[in-house]
Amino acid sequence: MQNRKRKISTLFDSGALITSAKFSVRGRLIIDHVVDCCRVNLSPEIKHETIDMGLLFGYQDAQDLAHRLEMRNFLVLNSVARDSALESALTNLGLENADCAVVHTYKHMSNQTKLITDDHRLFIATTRLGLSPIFLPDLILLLVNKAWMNVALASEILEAMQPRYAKGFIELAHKRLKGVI
Amino acid sequence: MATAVSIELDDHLQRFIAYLQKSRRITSRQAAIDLIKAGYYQQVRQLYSQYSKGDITFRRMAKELGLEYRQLYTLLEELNLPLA
Repeated sequence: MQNRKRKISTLFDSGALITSAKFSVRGRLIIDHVVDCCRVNLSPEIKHETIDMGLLFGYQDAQDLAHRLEMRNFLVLNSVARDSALESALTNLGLENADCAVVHTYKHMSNQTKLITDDHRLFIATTRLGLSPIFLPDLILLLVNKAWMNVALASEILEAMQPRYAKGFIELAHKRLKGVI
Repeated sequence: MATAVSIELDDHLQRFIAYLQKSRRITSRQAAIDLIKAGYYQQVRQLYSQYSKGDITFRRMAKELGLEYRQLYTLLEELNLPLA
């Protein structure tokens, strides 16, 4: 039944991708649980920051991500042409080169695609462009809402990623998961 | 990788390092290292405060500290500072 459902299309920012490759639940990395439900797309800049540089510095999670890339669990997209007016606006908002690359790539993707970022500034910039970014914990909630993931597993994933988030952040996700809010 | 640098201190810094040396019973070298470290981590915290308020992106913070994205992620982990 699940296999017939269309996976959720995502574009991951570096921080969310690294976090999802650092913590495990039920013997599997969080990114593996996400890949069960989502098409994970990366821009070339994100691949460079997370996998290429991660391998250079010897991070285990970079090796895990590289392995999954080899297994074609992720798709690295081609670089997109940058719109100069947008580029200028993003630079004026204080976005760096790779931040801009993420936005340009995201703008070229379908409206159904979710940008997964844990960067508040990038979140605000993309929201102001009429796009729909979400934080990684909120992707987990979305997967439950779309019946891709059960509440128990989602709760364990939120618990596992807690160390990388401010206390209230995960607490809110738990409350939404339980339907309290 | 450690890098040795030779610097001239102004009068205020010289006095402060001499004070640290005496009060903490450490060498002037160690006092200078402690002072530079304190300044560095203060800079990290200031930038982190801007980042966590959404004033700057993570990548800008990394750039301001002369770090790669990966290195900053690790630094925040070590300092137990959340990403979001």
